[in-house]
Amino acid sequence: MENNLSDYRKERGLSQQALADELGVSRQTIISLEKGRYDPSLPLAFKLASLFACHIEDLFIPEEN
Amino acid sequence: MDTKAVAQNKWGRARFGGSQTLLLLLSILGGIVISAVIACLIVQFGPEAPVQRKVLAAVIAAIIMLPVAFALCWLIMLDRDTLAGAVKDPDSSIEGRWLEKAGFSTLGDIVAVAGLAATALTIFKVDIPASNALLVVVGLAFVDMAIRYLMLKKVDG
Repeated sequence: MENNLSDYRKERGLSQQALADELGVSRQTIISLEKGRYDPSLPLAFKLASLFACHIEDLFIPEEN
Repeated sequence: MDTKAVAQNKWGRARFGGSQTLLLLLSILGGIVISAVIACLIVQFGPEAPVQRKVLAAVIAAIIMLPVAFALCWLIMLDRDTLAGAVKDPDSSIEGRWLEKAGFSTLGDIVAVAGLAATALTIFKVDIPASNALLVVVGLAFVDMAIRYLMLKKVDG
């Protein structure tokens, strides 16, 4: 799934490690999320949306059928 | 969002509190006790042999079991949040997903391999002890899961 996570993270001046620490996940998770190789769990998606004060659909772009 | 920092170190601390040293000491003690119990069981219920050989076998088994028993005690008592590098939400981390996927695939592999092996043993009328067969299944599961996890890590990482 495509996402704008990298843009939001950089906008906030957060490193991948800092974001990982905020969310309580590994840095590898952030790397894989940003590369679109890992679709987050619903709780993690909500945490991200809450952290960046946006909607989940602002962060993640569902693939068209 | 819970951002409470927990002090972490190489060996972590016990669930019931205390220092890293206490956890290590209790784990070593637990390991020694478990190994000693195994050694006693070997002497008591092991195959018939002269006492000296039985004792020697028990001591060797106890020495081999000691690190495993230590690790087991450490794992049971450890508060994982206090371990260096432990994340707060492992279930949402990609490593958790890899582990889940690897476990699921390993289950399929084991069922397939055990089924094929059982068929082959039945057709060719090969008789092997159940303990050996189970050891092979457990060993295979460990190796298969490790390989699958590392493959996922390489592909997705």
